[in-house]
Amino acid sequence: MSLVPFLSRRLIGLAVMLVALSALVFFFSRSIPGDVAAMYIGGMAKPEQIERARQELGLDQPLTLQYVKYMKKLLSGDLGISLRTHRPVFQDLLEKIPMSMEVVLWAIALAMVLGIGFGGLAALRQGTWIDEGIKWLSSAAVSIPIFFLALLLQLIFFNLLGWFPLQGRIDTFLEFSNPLELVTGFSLIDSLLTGNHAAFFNVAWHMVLPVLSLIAYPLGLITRLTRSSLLEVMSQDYILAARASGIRESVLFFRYGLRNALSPVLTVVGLSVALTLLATFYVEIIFNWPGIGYYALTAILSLDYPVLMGVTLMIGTVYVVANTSMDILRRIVDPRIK
Amino acid sequence: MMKSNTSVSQPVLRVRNLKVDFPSSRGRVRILEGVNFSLYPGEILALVGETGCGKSVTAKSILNLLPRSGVHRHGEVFLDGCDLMKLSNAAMRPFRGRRIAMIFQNPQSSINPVFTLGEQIFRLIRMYLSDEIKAVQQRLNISGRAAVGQIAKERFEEVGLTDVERLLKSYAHQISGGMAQRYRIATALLSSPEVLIADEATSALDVTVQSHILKLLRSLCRRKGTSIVFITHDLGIAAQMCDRVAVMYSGRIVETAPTLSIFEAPRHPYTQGLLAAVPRLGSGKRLANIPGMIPDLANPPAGCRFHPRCPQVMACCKEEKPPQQDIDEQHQVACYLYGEHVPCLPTGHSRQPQGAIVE
Repeated sequence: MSLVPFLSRRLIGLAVMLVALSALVFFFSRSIPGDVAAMYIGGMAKPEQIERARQELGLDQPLTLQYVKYMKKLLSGDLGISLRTHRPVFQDLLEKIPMSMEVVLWAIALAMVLGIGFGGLAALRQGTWIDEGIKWLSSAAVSIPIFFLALLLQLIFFNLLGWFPLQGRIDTFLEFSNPLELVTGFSLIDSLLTGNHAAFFNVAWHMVLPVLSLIAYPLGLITRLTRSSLLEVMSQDYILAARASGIRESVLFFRYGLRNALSPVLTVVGLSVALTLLATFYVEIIFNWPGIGYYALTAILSLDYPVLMGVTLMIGTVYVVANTSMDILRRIVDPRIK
Repeated sequence: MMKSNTSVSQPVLRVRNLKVDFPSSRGRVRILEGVNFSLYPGEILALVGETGCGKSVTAKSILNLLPRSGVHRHGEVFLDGCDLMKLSNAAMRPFRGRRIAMIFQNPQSSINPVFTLGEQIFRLIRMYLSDEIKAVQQRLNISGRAAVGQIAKERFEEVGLTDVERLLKSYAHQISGGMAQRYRIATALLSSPEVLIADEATSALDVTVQSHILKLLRSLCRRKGTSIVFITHDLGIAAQMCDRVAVMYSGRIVETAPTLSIFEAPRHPYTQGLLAAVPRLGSGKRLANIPGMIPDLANPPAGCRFHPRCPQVMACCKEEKPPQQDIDEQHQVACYLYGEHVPCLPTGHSRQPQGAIVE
């Protein structure tokens, strides 16, 4: 398996996609009516102050020139300065991305494990009430709007049962008694690394409901796909031939069947990463989770285009990285993929 | 050849009154309506017939490989005195591959695409041949792993596969159809099974490859003492390959005879029609065909299922299924044209079979 040409092709693809994506977002976000300079300088500004800010930001220049300048800076890793917080976007992203990815990756990892498990179980018990139940639940999971599910979870698990906190990432008093130290930005990993067990359990406890809200869609999708893919594989000639040679049903199913059925499932896992990252936008707002979604939403509302650009490029990159890694996994699982 | 002793020895495989129905949207469909045949030691029996006559269903129901939901099987399948129809799926497992092996039409698609040939044959060798592994281990003083590899190598060479080391690391999509079928034969004959069911085993291959595979199959099975049920729609292959031929039509075996008699003196009107439809070089005649279509199994014709297409149909054919009649010791036919008991005679029809044969 030759990974190098494959990866370099993917990298070129990523670069092309990011350039196109950046142009799209740049010109779209700048064509929205609203005075960016006024936004930057804040309320109660005099017209000449706004004009000065406009020159300072280079907003008086033609849009294409501004784009070229932006891209030049981008190449050196400079994503510009947030018009709202006046902080470097890159630094903000570095802080926010891990917070969101932590929830997203948990949701995806659990959705993958549970989805393959449930899908496999449904296929194994095809036509029974277990199968029907799993089919029904996975349809429901795919169909339910994420914001609605998030609110429903809050209603049940906070309001009625009181098992989980309403929102936030960590209890306020713990923030003072056992503050999180920043190592990787992933709070669960950081708290473990620094031996901060109290914070670890508290963050995990806060994470349950956001993860549950995010898990629904990918879990439903992966379950349904695993089931149908596995059923198709189990009707193939090679399964019949293996059965005819006396191979145990359990081996047939879990070793031969699942391995063959996995390839399309992995593709969907890759796609779900990006979808789930977008879904965190709602979830973070509902659960007041200080991640990328909340950050992006405020940027959209305040026309903070450097932040929008940064977030878009970041999501694009995550999308390509997720799909590329799933493709690599697929090549390992299925030797037919060239 | 086997013909001389088929009548004296005990059959290895005896299928009695095998009936299979499938559920369908229009009620239950009777795919097999009482299949009877015996397979004798060392014999190659051809099971011929058109597509959809139930050849493959017969083969699969012997090993209980039909889909489990809603399929009903009745009858008896005796292997060496043991009725396989009475066994549960789990109890059936030791018979599959070890005592009755099966190869399928499309060799490449019947090899698991995500494992190497080596990984697959090693698993089977470990499953079937634990004694032989030990013997090879002691004989060559090597590890168990190496012994498995050694056996695989021998078996590959036996079926004419060279460059074994590379093949063991190959996947199904990397080898040709002929090589794939040789590999399948090697795996099917690993444990020297009593019976090999070859379901259209060469139909998907090139003609030149086909004849090599047929020769290989014939000589290997003879050496290992494996009897073959050779399922094919190709009468030429049946003639070249098999000792006896059983002709199937719409879920029933209508005629069974030694290959020579069936080609020289076919009795059943369906067999006669089938043979007339085989093209012959230099005959100069237009190719005959059997008028009509194979019957709709959800709503089959009453009596003999061939009667709507039969050129010699009689009144009784439409009412009751004709029983098996003996032409001689080895030649059976299910048709009212033969035998002592004839419930009716058609007007304008003689008892002499017409068409291709005049005795």
